[in-house]
This record gives sequence, structure tokens and C-alpha cells, in this order.
Amino acid sequence: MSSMAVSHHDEFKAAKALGISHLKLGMWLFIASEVMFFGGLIAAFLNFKLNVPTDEIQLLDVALVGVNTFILLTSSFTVVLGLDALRQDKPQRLAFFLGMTILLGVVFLGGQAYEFSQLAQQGVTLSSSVFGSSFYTLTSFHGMHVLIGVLWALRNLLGTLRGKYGAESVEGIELFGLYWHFVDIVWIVLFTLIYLI
Amino acid sequence: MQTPANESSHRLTYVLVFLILGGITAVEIGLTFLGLPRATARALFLTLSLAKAVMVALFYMHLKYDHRLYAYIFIVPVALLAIFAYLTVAS
Amino acid sequence: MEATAETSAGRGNWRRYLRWSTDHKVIGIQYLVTTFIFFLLGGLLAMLVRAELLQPGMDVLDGVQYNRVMTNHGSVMIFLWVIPVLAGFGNYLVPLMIGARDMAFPRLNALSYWIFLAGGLLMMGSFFVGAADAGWTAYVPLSILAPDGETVWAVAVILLGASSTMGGINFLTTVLTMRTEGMTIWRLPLFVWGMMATSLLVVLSTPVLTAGLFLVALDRLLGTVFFDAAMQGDPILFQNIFWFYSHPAVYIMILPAMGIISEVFPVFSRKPIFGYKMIALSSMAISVLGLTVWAHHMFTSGMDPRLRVPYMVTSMVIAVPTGVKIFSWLATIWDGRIRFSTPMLFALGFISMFLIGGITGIFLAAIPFDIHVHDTYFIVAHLHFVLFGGSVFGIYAGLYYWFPKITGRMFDEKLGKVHFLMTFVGTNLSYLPMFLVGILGMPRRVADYAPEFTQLNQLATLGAIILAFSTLPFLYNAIVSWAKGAQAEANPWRALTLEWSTSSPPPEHNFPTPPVVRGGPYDYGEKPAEALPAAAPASD
Repeated sequence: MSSMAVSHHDEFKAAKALGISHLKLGMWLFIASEVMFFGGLIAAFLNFKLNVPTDEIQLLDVALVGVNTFILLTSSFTVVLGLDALRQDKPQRLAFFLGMTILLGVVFLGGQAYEFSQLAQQGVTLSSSVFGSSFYTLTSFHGMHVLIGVLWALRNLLGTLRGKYGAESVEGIELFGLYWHFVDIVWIVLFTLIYLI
Repeated sequence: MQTPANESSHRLTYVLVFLILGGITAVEIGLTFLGLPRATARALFLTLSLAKAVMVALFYMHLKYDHRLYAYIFIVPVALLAIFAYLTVAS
Repeated sequence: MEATAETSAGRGNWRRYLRWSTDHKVIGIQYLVTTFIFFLLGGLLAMLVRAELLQPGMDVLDGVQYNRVMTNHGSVMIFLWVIPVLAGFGNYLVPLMIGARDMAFPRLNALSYWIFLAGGLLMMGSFFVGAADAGWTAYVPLSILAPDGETVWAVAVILLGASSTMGGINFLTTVLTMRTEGMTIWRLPLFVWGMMATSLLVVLSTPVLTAGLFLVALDRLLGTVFFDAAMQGDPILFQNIFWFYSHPAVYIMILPAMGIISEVFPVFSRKPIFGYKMIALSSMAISVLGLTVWAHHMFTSGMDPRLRVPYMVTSMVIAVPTGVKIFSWLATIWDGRIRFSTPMLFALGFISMFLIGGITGIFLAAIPFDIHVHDTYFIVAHLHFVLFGGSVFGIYAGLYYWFPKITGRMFDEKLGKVHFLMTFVGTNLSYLPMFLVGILGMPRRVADYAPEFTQLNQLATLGAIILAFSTLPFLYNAIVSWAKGAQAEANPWRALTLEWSTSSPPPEHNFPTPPVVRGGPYDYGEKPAEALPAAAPASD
């Protein structure tokens, strides 16, 4: 039998014709599904925030979490700087920026944990009220997404140190970036809906 | 191949966006201390935050430069989420 | 080539279906067989329900057992049969139909199947800890108070949702990025359009249910109070979240089946499909509109009464693209040279059964009527006409139609006709009486009923018995034919879609060389059926 080993590369002709990448498309579709997942949780939170007034909301520390928000925004900045460095064929700089991203992500999570402990001491728990339930659930699911992002960044960092990425193979980092920025955008929305309005 | 001119033009965009994001965040935090009427405050915050999210999407997630399909894939669920959240809260 | 075709689905190789494989054809078969087993399990649960309802009074089951049986009948049929079997068809056929070698993400595809299996086994396992008994709709607060099996059920559905969502992402990416040369969007077979419309819904609505089930699990396990009335928890919140998915879920369950019908009709009437673009666009319209109707399940929930009206409107509007399809199908077969082979019989049955289900759906869209019949057997009748008369008939049509392609064997046509006849009679006998008994006031999900409903219930139980026995000719046919039926040629039905241009079953990489498409998939009568759009000759 003649082995017409069609390389995997040729299979995505339609993608090239459209000018898209199947991996990026898959990631954006995944992001779409995550938008809807957070949507369910956000709808629950808003339902209670707007229909069941509570005093507990006064206990939120906007300044503290504002700083944390700034930290997460900075981590998105470090990701784009890293990707930019990779495109300049400077993987060592990418490694640096990935390291910074991981650090900032961990600090963000630490900030969340601190905020949780502060609120818990003041009596806001999962069971104390519908506000407590929806607040902790929404922010914890976001935190889990940050944690997964941190682990992914770690894996990318190890890969970078092993020479896996270069100016010609940026897609893995690009995909990570899309995920990380999405998690950042979710936080922008959460910060607004929970702390600002 | 990236020319030096291209190289700094991307980074400049990223830096500018970052500064704007930081600036808006600082403004938002400041506004919370002003004790504005609720409706005004909400409108302001929602607009400012929308601006932040849009900037991250357009520039950091590269939607401004990529195929429009990706942008639709992002915008449609966001719009759907807004409708769903509104109708859920309203009922 | 011969040897490859034989061994890729060879008899001795049945073990490969029990193992991890990234070949979409293997995964497709894994789905088709596994879901059919769940179908039989769900059917057994249905028989228990019908046995109890044969007579008024609690004679077969007690109330708790009945609630568990009823809950899991619905859950199994929806989550473990109809939704995933259609994904199985999609898995097997979409790459073939677009001229690709596999799906865009083969490993994700395999993961989808095994997570589905885990979710299915978990749901069955819930019976060991006191099965879920709050209905497949799991309304709060009942589902919060239900025994441990309810938690297992919720986790199972979360897993199943994850599997489904992964599949949706895979299908959309595959169709957009892996079409072969010449396969433009407007030459895609209508089954592929159906899968695209379905996948849109899957990606957008399934995650919302996942979120809602997490809330239920959290209330049950970690003491959150989302649905605790004493703490101002909100049962309507759950209903909104639940139905935001579960209404699109019914379109997820029908759109691929409609796609199958669109494939069968042109082939078995030897005519091009009527209104190809309109059918394709109607699928997308149903998909989009399907996201806007969910609260028509909540008309009696205590939701804001004024808010009900927009839902009534959108629920009626969705009948329009559906009607477009039905008329297009009728126009397709009109004046055709019809062959009443088994796939065609089921497709024709689909039309009449789905019509009954669909029209009664329009009745239900009207708020005053729905208020009267909500939670009665009228709804049970409606849903079974669309899901059994619609989806299952479509699934059977597909199983027969693609049996030669998948197995490389021809099935027994006489047995197929017997199966169809029994199914058609059984369906009508089971579900038509339910319309009447529902309007007369018999509530659903209740284990007993007032004595005046007895005769109609007995008719329904008789119909169910016929349906139960109807699976026998199908099973015998499928198993024996797969083992030793006549060898199937590449294109026994003389169809024009790409899967028929390769051998039965297809070789490992589907096509010896990537096909090049030069025409539409339904150009019957415009060129000889042997001159397929694919440039590559049918192998062997």
C-alpha cells in the first residue's frame, strides 16, 4: 500500500485559507465556555447583591483588593512583555517575565487568602449569608483559575529554560497568554461587580 | 523579521496600555471614597471597567490585529452573559 | 488497502474499542455502543415506571423508589443517551464528511469519551448510595434535601457537561479549520451544519448548568445557603440557571437528528435537497433562538408575570425555522423516486412524530395553556414525541443509514422494517394517550393517579411494552449483521457525501489522498451518482 503520509500540517489548509490557527480558535472557544461558566456564578452573585441587601458588603476592603487588582494587571503586562521578548528571539527574557508573572500571581493569591481571613474573622463565611456564599464561591473559582494559570506558567518557564520556545515557536506561550489575560479580565469584572458598584 | 522600529512600537503600546490600566484602577479606587450617588457611581465604574477589559482584550489578547472571528467568539458569550444575568436578576 | 480496511475495524480487533484511541472512528463507535447500552438501561427504568402506572395504587414500587426510577430514567435518556449518541455520530462522521483525517484535537476527543464514560458510571453508581430522586430537573430545595445519591448525580452531570463542552469546542474547530480543498461552507452536508449549530449551543449553555450544579453541590456539601429559604436563598435562581442550559439541551438533542434526516431524504428520493441554504440557516436560527426561550419552563414558578411574555414570543417564533425545515423536507421527497428502505422509513416516521411534538410545543408556548397543563402528562407526551418520535427516530435512521459504512456489512432489511413498524406503533400507543390524560389533569412525576385515568394509562403501558420488544429485532439485526452480514461496498446507497467515497469501513486515515470537492453534496439527478464530488476514486 502506498503510504501517503499526509503530514499533520496539511490538514489545516482551511485554517490557513481563513487566516486563523486551529489552536488559537480552540482556545478562544474554550474562553467562550469559561465566560458562560463565570456567567452563571456572576448571575448568582448579582441576584443576591441586588435583591437581598446586606450590611456585610461594607466589610469589603476596596483599597486592599484594589492593590491586588493592580498586581494582577501587572502580571498581564509581564506576560505580553515576555511574549514580545520571545518574538525578538530572546527566550532568556521570556523566562524572566514568566518568573515575574508567577510571582505576581502568587502574590495575588496571597492577597486573596489574606482578604478571606480578614472577612472570616469578621463573621463573613460561606454559610453566614447569601452574600457570603456567593462572594466566596465566585472569588474562589477565579482564584482556582489563577492557580491553574500559575502552574501553566511554571510549566512554560521550565520549557523555556529547556529551549522549547523561540521566535519560530511562540504559539504555546501565546495560548497561555490568552488564558492569563482572560483570567485578568474576569477579575476586572469581578472587582467592579463585587467591590465597586 | 522584526525591525528595531517594530520592536519598540509593540512594547510602547504595551507600556501605554499598562499605564492606562493602572491609572483607571487608581481613579476607580479614589472614586469609591467620594461617596457619589449610587446610580452615577455604578455608571462610572461600569464604563471605566469596560474600558479596562476592552483594552486588555484588544491589545494584550491581540484582538485588534487578529482575525475578527476570535473577537466574535469572545463578544457573543459576553453579551449573552449580560442578558442572562439581567433576566435572572429581574425575575 | 483491502487488508487495512479489514483490520481497522476487523473482527479480531474488537478489543481496540475497549482501549484509549485517538481515532475519531473508534471513539465514534465507542460512543454509539456505550450510549445504546445506556438507552436500554433508561428503557428498563421506563418499564418500571409504566409497570407501576399500569394500575392506580402503589403496587410495584413505593414512592421513594418511584422517584428514583423516574429521576434516573430522564437523566439517563438525556445525559447518557440522546446527547452523547449524537456526539458519537458527529465524531464518526464530521471528519469524513469534510474530507479530513481526524478531528482537530484527537486527544481531547478521546478524553471527552472517557470522561463521559466516567460520568455515566458515576450516575449509575449513585444507586448504591441512595439514588437521586429530585427529578432530572433537580429543583431546589428538594435536591438539597435529597439523599447522598443526589450529590453523586450532580458530580456526574458536571463531568458529562465537561465532556460535552470539550466536544463542542472540538467540532467547531474541526469544521472551521480542517475542511478539505473545495469544501466551502456552503457545500457542507447538512448533518455538519446540524453539528455546528449544536456545538454553538453546547459551548454557550452547558457551562452555565455546570456552574449551577456546583452551587447545588456547595449547598449540600459545604453549607452554603444559595437555596436556603431561611437565609433568603432563591429557588428561582436555580431554575433560571438550570433552564438556561436545559432548554438549549433539547435543541442539542434534535439538531443533529434533523441533520441526519436531511442526509437520508435526498438519498432515498434520488432528488437534491430542497432549500439547502434555508435548512442550514434555519439550523443556526434555531440554535440562536434556542438561547432565548428558557423561562417558558418557569411560567408557573412565581417569576415576574410580565417577564413571561417575551419568552412566549420567542418560543413561538422558534417554530418558524422549524417549519421551514419540515416544508423543505417535504418538498425534497415530493415527486421523488422513493425507496422505502429502513433509514427512509424512520426518516418519514420522524416527520409525523416530530410534527405532533412540535405543534404541541407551540400550544405550550402560550402562557395560559401552559399554566393549565404544566407538570401534567401533556408535557410528558409532548417531550416524548419530540425526543422519542423525533430524536430517537432520527438516531435509528442514522444507525441504519451508516451501518454499512461503519461496520462494512449490510443489515437485514426485513428485520429493519419489523423494527420500524413496532417502534412506530409503540410510540403512538405510548404517548398519544398521555396528551389526553394530561389535559384531564393527571400530574407528572407522581407515582399514583386517580382511578378515572386508568384505561389511558393501560394503553400507554401497552405501548411501552411494544417499544421494549421493538429493540429486539434491532439488537439481533445489529449484532448478527455486524458479525456476519453481507459485505458492504463503499457506497451501497449511492450517496454523494464524502464518507461514501471511501471504503466501508474507512481506512485508518479515512482517505487514501485528501479528496477535492467540486460540487454540492446533494446534486442527485444532475450527474450520475457514481461520479462523486471527491476526485479520489472510491478505494478498493
